Amino acid sequence: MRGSVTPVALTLYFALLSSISIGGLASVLPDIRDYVVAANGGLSDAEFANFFAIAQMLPGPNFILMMTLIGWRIGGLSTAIAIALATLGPPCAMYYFAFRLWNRFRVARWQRAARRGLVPVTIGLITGGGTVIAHVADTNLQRAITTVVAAALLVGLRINPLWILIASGSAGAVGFL
Amino acid sequence: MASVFARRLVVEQRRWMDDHDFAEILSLCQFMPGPSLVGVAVWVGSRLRGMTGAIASLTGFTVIPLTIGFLLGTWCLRNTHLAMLQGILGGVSAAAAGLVIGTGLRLLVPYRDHPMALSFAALAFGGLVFTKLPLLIIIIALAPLSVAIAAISSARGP
Repeated sequence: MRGSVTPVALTLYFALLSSISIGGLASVLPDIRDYVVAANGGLSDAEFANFFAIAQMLPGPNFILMMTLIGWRIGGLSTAIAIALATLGPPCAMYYFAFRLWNRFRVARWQRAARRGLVPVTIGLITGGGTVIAHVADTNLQRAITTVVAAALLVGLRINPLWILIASGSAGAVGFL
Repeated sequence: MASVFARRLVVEQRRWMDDHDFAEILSLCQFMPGPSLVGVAVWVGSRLRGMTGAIASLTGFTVIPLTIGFLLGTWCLRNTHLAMLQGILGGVSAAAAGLVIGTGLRLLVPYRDHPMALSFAALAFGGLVFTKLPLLIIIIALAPLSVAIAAISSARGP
């Protein structure tokens, strides 16, 4: 075990983050980083960026995968399994009940207000989370340019993001980044 | 990214629902806390077959991919000393950060004429990037206010 964080505390904290992560993984990235790098997890920024990259390029729900891999690193396989279950369970139950509630009140006014109010906050959180990760991942000028180009390509040309990941991964493999 | 493949399966290949229904589910799940594609699996499953469908869909969507991802992931973490893998990870994380930012910017486009929405997006962005406040605090501070203003303005408007 590394740092001073215990597997139980890590599992509970990740379960909490999973339940409040509006906008997906991006919005909780800063919190995860603060917890496992800055505060007490004993990981370095470079290791944290590795976790992010691995979760992005492998199949499956990358949000849970990243937390599970951090759990494996800090507390071994049992912590990894505990985190996978703890980060999946509460949101799933919430999704199921939200589905039934939403279907019952499909035409209600409050649904529109909730959506119109929450969407902009969510967008800000997603963009902010990406910016925090860029700050950690872009350790040289080429990587910073890669981040800007990837964002511009996605916004401007709407090309499949998979190609952007493959291209930048290949460029990294041959030592350009 | 997985949403691209999920849409292909659900809408194009199996024709379980049309694009409109799928888009509604996807956007709702994105704006709810939790891993959004897990939410999509639960919602698609429950719409088709109720609770049984939700559990079946969720199992298919998580157990096998998570197992494969975990095995490959631990292999990568054990081998991060390899220069080539280090290069790939560096390139991928730089690009993935850009893709996350780009996704946010793309979602913002429909709101370009809504100053109130832009302000709340900017506040959330600034709160996360500059103030280093925990996410929960930012959400508690901004979400109720933003929803209240949206409710008032839609009650006044057409």
